[in-house]
Amino acid sequence: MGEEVASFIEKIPRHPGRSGAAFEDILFLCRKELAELIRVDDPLRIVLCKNATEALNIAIHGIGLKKNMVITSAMEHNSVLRPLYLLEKKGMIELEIIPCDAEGRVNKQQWEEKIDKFSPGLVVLNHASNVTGAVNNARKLLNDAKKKGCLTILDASQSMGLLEIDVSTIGADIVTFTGHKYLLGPSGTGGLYIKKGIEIEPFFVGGTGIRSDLREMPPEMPGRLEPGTPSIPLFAGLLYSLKWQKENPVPLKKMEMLTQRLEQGLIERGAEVIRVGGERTYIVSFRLPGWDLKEIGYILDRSFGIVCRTGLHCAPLIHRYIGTAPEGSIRLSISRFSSEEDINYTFDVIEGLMNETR
Amino acid sequence: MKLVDIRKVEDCFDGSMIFRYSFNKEVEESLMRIMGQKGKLHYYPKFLRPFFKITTVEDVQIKGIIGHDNIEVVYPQTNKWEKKKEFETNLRKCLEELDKGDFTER
Repeated sequence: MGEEVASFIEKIPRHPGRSGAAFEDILFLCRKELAELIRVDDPLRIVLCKNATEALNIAIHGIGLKKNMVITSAMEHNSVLRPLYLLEKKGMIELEIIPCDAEGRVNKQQWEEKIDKFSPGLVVLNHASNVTGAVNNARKLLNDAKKKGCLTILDASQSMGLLEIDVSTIGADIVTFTGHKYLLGPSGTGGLYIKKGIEIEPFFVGGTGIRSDLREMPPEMPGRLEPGTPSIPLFAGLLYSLKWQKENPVPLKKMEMLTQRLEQGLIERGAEVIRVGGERTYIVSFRLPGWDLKEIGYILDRSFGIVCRTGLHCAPLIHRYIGTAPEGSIRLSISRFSSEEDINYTFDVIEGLMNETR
Repeated sequence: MKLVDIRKVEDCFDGSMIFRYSFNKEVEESLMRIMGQKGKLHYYPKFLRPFFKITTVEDVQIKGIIGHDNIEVVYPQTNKWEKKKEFETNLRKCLEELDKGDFTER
């Protein structure tokens, strides 16, 4: 993928909308692959941008909320919460945040009750928690909201490329995603799917390379929501990864087995693990008694070369419900490339750290 | 050994005060022990890359890896800017002491 990105950096820069030269339309091919992945009929309903945060801002600000109630969950990332807080501060929405359970899933009963009570203009739901890996039953939760006439946004940043998403059944009017997680693309790529019939006002405006004589953004999708020059090299990288993934399906059983082993092994060595049952993604959040959270992140990374993240993981509300407030947790992620050796090495390191505290 | 860069490091929390101090050479045990005289030193030499942390009487926390060219310093919320200034003065003295080579372990 890196070589693909580099080869496009070295090519003469050209953009399909701005150049008459005939060449591969990387952006369209990317849309086509993404559309196929989540079963979208029309690839032009896929808007490309630089990450899920930008995608969520385009969606949340562009929907045109006016004094609407918006419902979301406590498991959301700040890429959802902060745009909503901003609209709330401007007096444009009222915000209701549904708590989650100890595993990090949205509380279904409260979700249903609040939707029944408020009939909100919009609901925004995280498909999978980036802190615990707990997966919501998005199909049920979003379709319940649709029955009440709500617009629905699914944040699939943690799930696209890993879990099956079928836009014809999942109940989402908009699905947002990032390219650098389970899609295996480079960071700096992301986007959103917008269902036909859903109008989004441009959040960003500017050059499009088409209909430049208009004062406003042209109506054609997806260009209407894609002003400015995109990063063709990065999307070439994403395209490469999407094609590679199609030929190399995610080894779900192996990832599940490694995650369970990691979870169990950490518990046996004295770690406080946020255990997650049911459908999940392959991350493990935990704390190590006797060690300061920030210190342990520093040690794992710099002393032992174990890539991890510590703290709130940009999802500040979930920690109240999973018992990791106020500091947060240490998070390890299993990828398709993780091995038994990686897990064994992690166990040796954790065991050594715990022995230091005894 | 020279201090070549001081840079603020951000973490998850509003108001946190963490700085990274980079040197022109790798941090060795000798510098750690000189800095350790200013507080309580915890040293973990058996780690793959040895780790140390020092907590000063001012509650300034210093952490680093032997062989890396930087250390990180976490300042407490109370009087943080004064403590930062004081730490940096002390750090420069430690570096001078290291360069003079007259350090003997106490």
